[in-house]
Order: sequence, then structure tokens, then C-alpha cells
Amino acid sequence: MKQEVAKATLGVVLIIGLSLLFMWKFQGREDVISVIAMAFLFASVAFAWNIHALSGVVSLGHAAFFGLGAYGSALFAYYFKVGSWIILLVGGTIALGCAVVWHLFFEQLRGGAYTLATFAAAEIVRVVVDNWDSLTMGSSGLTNIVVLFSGTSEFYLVTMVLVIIAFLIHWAALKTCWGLQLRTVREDELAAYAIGVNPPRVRMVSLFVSAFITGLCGAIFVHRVTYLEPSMVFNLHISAMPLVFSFLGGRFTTMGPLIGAFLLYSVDQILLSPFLPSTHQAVYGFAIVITVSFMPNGICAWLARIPQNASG
Amino acid sequence: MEQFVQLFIQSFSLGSFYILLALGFALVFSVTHILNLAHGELIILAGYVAYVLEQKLSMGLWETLPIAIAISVVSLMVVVSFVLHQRRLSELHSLIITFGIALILQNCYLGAFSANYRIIFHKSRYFSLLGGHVFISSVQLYLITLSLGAIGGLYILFRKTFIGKALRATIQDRFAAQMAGIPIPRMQLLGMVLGGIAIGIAGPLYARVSYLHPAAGIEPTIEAIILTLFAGMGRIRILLAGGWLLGVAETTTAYFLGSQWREFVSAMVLVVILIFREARSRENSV
Amino acid sequence: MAGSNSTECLRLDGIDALRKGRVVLSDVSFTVCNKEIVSIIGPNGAGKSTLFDVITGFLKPSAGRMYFQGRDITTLTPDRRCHLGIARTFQIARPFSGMTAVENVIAALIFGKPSTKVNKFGDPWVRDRAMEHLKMVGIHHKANTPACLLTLSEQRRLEVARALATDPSLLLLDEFAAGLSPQAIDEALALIESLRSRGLTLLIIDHFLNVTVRVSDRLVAVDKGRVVAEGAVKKVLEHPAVVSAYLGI
Repeated sequence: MKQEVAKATLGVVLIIGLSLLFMWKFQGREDVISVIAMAFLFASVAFAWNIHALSGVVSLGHAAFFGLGAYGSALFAYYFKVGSWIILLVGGTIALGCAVVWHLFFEQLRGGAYTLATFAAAEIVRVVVDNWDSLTMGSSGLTNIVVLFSGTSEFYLVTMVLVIIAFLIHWAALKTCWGLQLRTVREDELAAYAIGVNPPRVRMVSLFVSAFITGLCGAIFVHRVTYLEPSMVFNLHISAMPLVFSFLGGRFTTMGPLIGAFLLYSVDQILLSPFLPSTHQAVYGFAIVITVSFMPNGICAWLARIPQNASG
Repeated sequence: MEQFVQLFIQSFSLGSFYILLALGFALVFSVTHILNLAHGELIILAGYVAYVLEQKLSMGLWETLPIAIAISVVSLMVVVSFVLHQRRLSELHSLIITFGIALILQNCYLGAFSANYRIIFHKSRYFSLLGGHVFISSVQLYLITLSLGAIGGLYILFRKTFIGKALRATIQDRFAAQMAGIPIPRMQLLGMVLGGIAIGIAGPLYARVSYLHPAAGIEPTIEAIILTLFAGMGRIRILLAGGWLLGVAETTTAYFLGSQWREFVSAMVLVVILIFREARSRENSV
Repeated sequence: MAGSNSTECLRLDGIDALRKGRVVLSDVSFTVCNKEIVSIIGPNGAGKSTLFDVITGFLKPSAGRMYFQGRDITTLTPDRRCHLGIARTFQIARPFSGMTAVENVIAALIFGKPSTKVNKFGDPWVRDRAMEHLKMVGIHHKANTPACLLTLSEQRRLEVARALATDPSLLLLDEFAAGLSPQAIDEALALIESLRSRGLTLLIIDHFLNVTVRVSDRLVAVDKGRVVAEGAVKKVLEHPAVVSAYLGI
């Protein structure tokens, strides 16, 4: 266990070190810093998604939490005229509320049925937010959202701290006692019940943690871009990204989601976006298909296999 | 009274439309156990094809249908074959992969057609019934006749032809069908062809009644999944009943609450069905 | 009930159970005393495994009540029952396939009792205890093998080790002898005797009468969801209802 704690600390140090390195190397290049900060943000969503996935289910509807966090935070600030950072927590809490509803209704579902339900649930949330004009301004969008981050550098540091927190909680979901609980539930629910674990409660906790962090990320996102409309946050790509990053980077490794996020998000934003302005996000679709077909355990595991295959 | 009949016509045609949407999905699912989350996107593809042919090349509906059908059959075969050749094939797996394919398609549409909403403009001819108080549009007539035609065609195929019986056997019990000497891959191919035809008919009709845009595929996918799950595997008659019921539910909702809430209703219905099925199969177990 | 019998381990009172609307258990009542070894016998489909599911909380009874050491457990979830001291093996072994044998047992050691989970997790002592359990069932040489790679017999024994690791006072063994060689059966029976001497109460399901009768104190015979005979081994085996259930006459 002490070994694992040491590895986690090393991970944190590594993240901080690399972040500062990037910041120094690219100072003056606001666009690059901005992309890296967004990569941190979506990596945090990926960590959060994977915490839920570690309980043995796949969610295709995390956009619901992300969007509710964004809308919850922005609308709270708008209606209650609050400008401090507490609105971020409000965003997270509203996403958490949605997770409570999910748990109440979907608790009995498993496998493909659960995944389908999450897919439909995201759609439900989107339609409600889109149509409830009086509350959310619907498709006309929200503008003049409270600006919380005075500049790209501050945003960068905020997302760095965010990703470190998400990394640590994700690490706990893999390597601590909680991680072992999640693993037993993931492997065999009935056997887990028989040895004294309560799978519904374990899944509930992982869902709640996942939803809150994702909502928090949504809130941070909206206060950076200061403009919001439903299609920005309630779309398939937002649901797809954490799934892709986790699968690509390795769903059972502590750093996996972060690696997946960095690899793919940077490629998308820096390499593809300039050349294919309207279709570049197709890369996420391709990534899902390729990863799940050929490398379901992520890139690290796939690379590790090559030497064995070579020697026959 | 007239309003009632009008609502009925609306429900019936909407329901027929949903049945058409669902048929393609249900056929593929029954024969291959693949849940194709890109189903809606394939319908949209057929819709875009019809849009280009009709708006830009001024072709009529009956000329675009064969082309749309051909393209749909080919694209469905590509998608389904790809999923079938996976090493690990489970319902969940197929969901994720087709989800990825749906994303890819959405972005292709975005690139080719931009995010603008498009629709096929047509001068609907209205036929009056009941002494001029109730109207049915030509589109609604197309919907009803084409979907009833498709269903009728499937019925004849399933009940009266040998190949149809083989297909039914495959749907009911793949293992037993294999034992009886039925070539499963060929049956799956047939399922894909039939599904593609259903999609190819649905697309051009969709483009007339609803707006085409890159993210438009989600709604038809959800409708299709609802009906397929509701009906269970290969139970066409229940599919019909479910389709018309759903048509009624959504039309009444749209009538009272406004049409934007339609998608809400359909997604809610899907959730309810999923929970119901699970509750039924779990009963007293933990 | 006031003044519960201190030698009573498990008591079932009028248990009915349904699966998909079908009645699978009907008015089942019997008692198991502390340190007894009781075998549940009956033909296929009699409801033996269902009975285990009800006792361990995997199936909710539609009527009746259950008591464990005087305490009403009828509505408790399986994990709570495990914490109270009821453990089971499954008819078809359900190990945590991706985890090694020793990890399987470690998980049971940590979660089997509700207290001090976190402390136990980091403690090296836990691994030693797990190895002891593996040694007791004879698979310590495969401690670091993933459970999915164990043979069927080894997986069965792992199930027993895992169940024992939760420190139970009542252990339910489901079809432990099916598919075992005569020598393996002898070893298993010796294990069962040693468990009794440690103070465990045992409830065993076995299809093959000639195995369990060698070690049981009492038998409970079940047929079509009902208890048809109960009591001393010889008495039950000669009971006409039992004979007809097995021979179908």
C-alpha cells in the first residue's frame, strides 16, 4: 500500500512538473496554453467517468452531468447575483441531484440496458433544458456569464488543480480499500454480496462522486467560455470524450484517462481542427471504434503485448 | 368530433412512421443481436440523399426511393458486418461501437451539409374527409401506405415464403436453426438487406416531415429502440400495436404541450420500458 | 420471541418462495442447532439451492420468517447476513475471475466483517491469514494464479476458503461433492469434520446421498419445494416419501 501511495505522489509531482514546464515553454502562446487547460478539464471528466465505470457499467450519458453543472452554475449566478467561486459547487450539486434521480430509476439495470438508459437520460435532460425557456433561455443561449478566471494563466492553474484532485480520487477508486470494493462489484455482484459487500451502495457512491466532479467540470467550463447554449454541453461528443479517453489511455490504470485525454484532445484541437474545421470531431468516433475493437484494454496494454507477439 | 378524427389520423400516420423507423432496427437486432445506435444516423443519411436528389436534381419521391434504398442497404451492411467481425461481441460492445460510428457519421454530415436545418419542401396535397372538416396530407398518406406496405411485404415474406420461415427460425433460436441446416451468415445478410430497405424508405419520408440536421439521428434511434424493446424479438404484431400507441402518446402530448416535448416523451417512454423489463425479470431476486 | 434458544443456530418458519410466479418453496420450516451438520437432500429441482438463496438473502420469501441465532433476518440483505456470520458457496463456483486466488480470499477477509475495513486493507497480516485459508483447502500452491485459470475443483475449494475467510458461524455448502473423485471426496469430508470441531455449524446440499450421510447429524429431505422428512439419517433415508421422491414411484 505504501508503494501505491508513493506512486500516487509521484504522479502528482509529475503532473505539476509537466504543467509548469508547458507553462514556461509556451508562455506567450495563449492558444496552446488554453488547449492544454481544456485537456486538463476534459481529463478530469474522464477520471470522473471512469470512477463510475469502475463499478462495472458504461455510461453514455455523462453529458447530462456536465451540462447540468454548466447550466446550474450559470443560472444560479444569474438569478441570485452571486459572483464568487461557490457557484462552481452549486453546479456540482445540481449534477449530483440528477445522479440521485438516475440512481432511483436505473439502480436495477445492468449491462446494455443501463447504458441505453443513460443514453436516453442525457437526451431527456437536453430536451428539458432546451425547452424550458423561461428558466434556461433555451436555444437562444445565455450570454454575459460571470467571468471567474481573470486570464488564461489563472484558468490553466485552476484546471491543473482540478485534474490533480480528480487524479487522486480516481487513484483511490483503483488502489485503496474502496478500489477493492469496486473491483469485487465489477467482477461478480452476487459473489460480492456473499462476502459482505453491498453492490448497490457501492455503485451509488461511485455514481455520485462521478456526477459531482463532472458537474464541477461543466461549471468551470461555462465560466471560462462565458456563453452557453444547450448544444454546446448536451451533445454526444461530451458524452463520448470521457469514454474514449478512458478506454484509449487504459481504464484500469491510474494515469490512463489523463493520457488518453492529452493524446486525443491535443491531436484533435491542434492538428485536426485547423484543417477540418467542421468534421474534426469525427476523430472521437474513430477513436472509440478503433480502441474498443482492437485495444479494449487501452494503449498501454496494447503496446505491452507487442514484444510477446514478436517473439511468437 | 372532427378534432378527434384529426388527432386520430395524425396519431396513425405518426405511429406508422415510427413503425417504419423501428422495423430496420428490429430486424437487425433480431437476427444479429446488435443494438445499432447509429440507426438514426443511417436514416438521416437516406434523408440527406433524398434531399440532394429532390431539391438539387428535382427528382420525385418515387425516383429517389430506389436510390435511397440502395445506399441504405449498402451502408447498413458495412456497419453491421464491421460489428459482427469483432472478437468480443456483446450487446454492450455493439452499443459502444455503433455509438462511435454514429459520432463519425454526425461529423461527416456536419462537414458535408453544415449545421443548417434542411427539409424537403413539397406542396402537400390535402384530401378532405368527413365533409371537409378533416384533412389528410399526401405525406401522411405516403407514410401510412408505405409503412403498411412494408409491413405487409414482411408478413408475406415471413409467413408464405420458405426463406422467410428460415429467417423466423433464426430469430427464434439461432442454435436450433443452425442444427436444422440454415446458413446463419446468409440469414444475417438477409436481415441486413431487409433492414436497409426499411431505412431507405424511412429516410426520404423523414426528410419531408422533419428537419434534417447532423444531430437529428438521435431521435429516430430512440424511437426505434423503444418499439423494438417493447415488442420483443421478432414480434411484428406487437411492434405494430406499440408503434400506434406511441403515435397516440406523442400526438396527444404535442397537442397539449407543444411539439418540442415530443422527444422528451419518447426518451421517457424508453426509460420506463427498460425499467419495466428489468423489474419483470428480476422479481424477488436481489 | 423472548428467551431464544441458545443452541439454536438457524430457524425457518413457514417459508414460501416464488420465482417468476411459480411456487418454488412451500411452507418450509426446520431448525438447525449450533455445531450441527445438517444435509439437505432431494431430487433435481426440489428447491435445495433456492432454499440456500432464501437463507442467504438472494431471494426474498413471499411468506414466513427466518431467525439466525435468535435474530429475525428475514428482510436483511445478503451482505448484512454475511456480517452476522452466514457464509455460502455457490453451486457453480463464482470466484472473482480476474483476481488471484489469494486476492479472492483477502477481499473476503476485509469485507466479511463490517469493522476496520480500511485498517485491514494495508495490513500485511491479512495476506498471511489468506494464505492460511488457502492452505486449509489445499490450494496454497496456486495462490498467485488468476482464479479464472484454476481447475473446477480448485475453484470450488477457493469458494470454501473465501467463505471461511468471512469468519462465519454458519456455513452453507452447495453441491460440494459433485464431480469430485472418491479421494477428493474423502479429503472434503475430513475438512468438514475439522470445520465442525472449530465450532462451525454446517448446512450442506448434496445430490449424492452416499456422500453426505457419512458426515451428517441430521437430514432434511425436500421434494417439489416442501419438506417431506426430517430427522436422523437412517430414519429419513427409509421414509417412504423420500424413497419415492428419489425413485420416482
